[in-house]
Amino acid sequence: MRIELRKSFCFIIFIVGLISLTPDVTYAYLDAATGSIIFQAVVAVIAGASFFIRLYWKKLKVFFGSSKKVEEKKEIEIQSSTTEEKYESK
Amino acid sequence: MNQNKQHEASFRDNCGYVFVKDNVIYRRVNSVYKKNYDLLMESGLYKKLVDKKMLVPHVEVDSMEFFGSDNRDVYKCIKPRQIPYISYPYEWSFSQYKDAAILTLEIQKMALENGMTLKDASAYNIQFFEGKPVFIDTLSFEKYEKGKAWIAYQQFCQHFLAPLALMAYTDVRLSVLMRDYIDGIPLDLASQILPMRTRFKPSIMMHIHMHAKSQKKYADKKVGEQKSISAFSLNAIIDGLQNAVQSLKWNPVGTEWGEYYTFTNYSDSAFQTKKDIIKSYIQEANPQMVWDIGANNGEFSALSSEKGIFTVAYDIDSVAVEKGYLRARESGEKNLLPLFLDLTNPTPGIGWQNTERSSFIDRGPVDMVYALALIHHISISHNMPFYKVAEMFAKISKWLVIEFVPKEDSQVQKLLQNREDIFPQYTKEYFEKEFKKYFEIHRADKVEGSLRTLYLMKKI
Repeated sequence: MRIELRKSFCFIIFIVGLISLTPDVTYAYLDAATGSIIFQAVVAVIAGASFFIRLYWKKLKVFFGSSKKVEEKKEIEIQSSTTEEKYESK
Repeated sequence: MNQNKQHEASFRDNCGYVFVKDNVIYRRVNSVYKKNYDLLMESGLYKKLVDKKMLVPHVEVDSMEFFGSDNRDVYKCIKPRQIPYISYPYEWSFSQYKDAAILTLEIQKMALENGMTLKDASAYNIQFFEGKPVFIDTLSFEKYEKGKAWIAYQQFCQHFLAPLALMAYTDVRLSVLMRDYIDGIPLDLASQILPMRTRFKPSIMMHIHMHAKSQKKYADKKVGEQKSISAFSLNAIIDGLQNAVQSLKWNPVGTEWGEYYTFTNYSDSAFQTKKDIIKSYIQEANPQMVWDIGANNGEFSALSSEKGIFTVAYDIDSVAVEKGYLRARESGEKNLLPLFLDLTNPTPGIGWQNTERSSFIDRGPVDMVYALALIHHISISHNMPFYKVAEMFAKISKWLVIEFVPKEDSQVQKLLQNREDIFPQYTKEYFEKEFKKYFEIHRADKVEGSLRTLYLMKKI
């Protein structure tokens, strides 16, 4: 649910960005393919930002409070690896 | 000297073309493509892609042999690994299509890492080889120029994203729209057919709905200089498209045929007998390639594919084709290719002069065809007289394995339940008489434990 909300929020921001980025001047008559190329500049901004957010989302999550869970998880991992080591040494 | 025949599907690209000589496929590389070809080979991209079985491997051959002194514009001639059977996107199941889309994006990613980019993203550049999708157009790579947009973005959306979204959100059968639109499904059309809820899905909203609007907006307007797109953003677009494709799901559930083998009237022993008889037919005819028509999920196709014989498992049911592909993919089956086919309206030849993409019949004849538990569906459900059925099989097969299902069989009785029996000539004797006009009956075996008969026929 939180992820969906986050996605929708980002999306609204980018729609606003899209409108402000729409080019509106000069030179040649174009076909649908060129329309796609122009549109790609907008997609690039949206995709770039969402890519960036996804890259740093985990770090942000850790920063804003999920750090406890991560620590707990680490502890469990350490415990299980020591068990494995014990098993192997036998 | 020059007996090369330019391939009917290869004429749009000025960088070279595919040609056929003595039934072997070659590719001519024109001088205009020299820099890009050298970059592909020397940047390490070719090797990486071939090592990962993503691109069809090739060897360079002497162009003099093919073009003699008339080779001014020829830079190289290459002989790619031969693909046993050419299939088209409108014949693929959902997962086959999805795997093809993901492969295209993976290749574009790797190309960018190596300073190149794909200049097109056509679904026809993908073929299935050894059970997996592989990219076949060696001339699709060009040098990446900093700041440039991905020229094939629109094509990717039309050839892959739109059909997959339509299959996932509207109806899986909509991939046949690719038959009518050779350069992919127009985005405005896809946008209209897709359900409202896809407008709330950011990736589909952006790459299809808004993309379609943008195309319409700029179709007859003057615009400014194109904005530069950074390499980071370009990678982000590819990554976004990858997520969009990955998130598309289709769950194949119970159709008429999906659970077919659960409801057949074959006992286990009769089923095994049928398999044994077919195995002996395979041994006798020793085919290089088999088409199993009405293959369901490929149960009988496996009899030949497991022997290393390339087998195309055709079926009318999208669920059966999907299940067949998933099963083959899971088991790493290399010689089985499940595909969609409606035999009563088989894949037509499409594109320029109707020959750019071959029809089903033009891709034959094949060494051996299986028509198992099929005749009653064609003759009774579709009113197809025996002579018409025999005529068609004579066009596509050298050897025919066909099963005759008599009227007394419970499956035929089921077909006749709600309709008038207008088939007095649906008898074993008449069946044999009509097929003998085209075929010589080599063997006829009653399947013990059932009322059915299997035939091995050889085309006269």
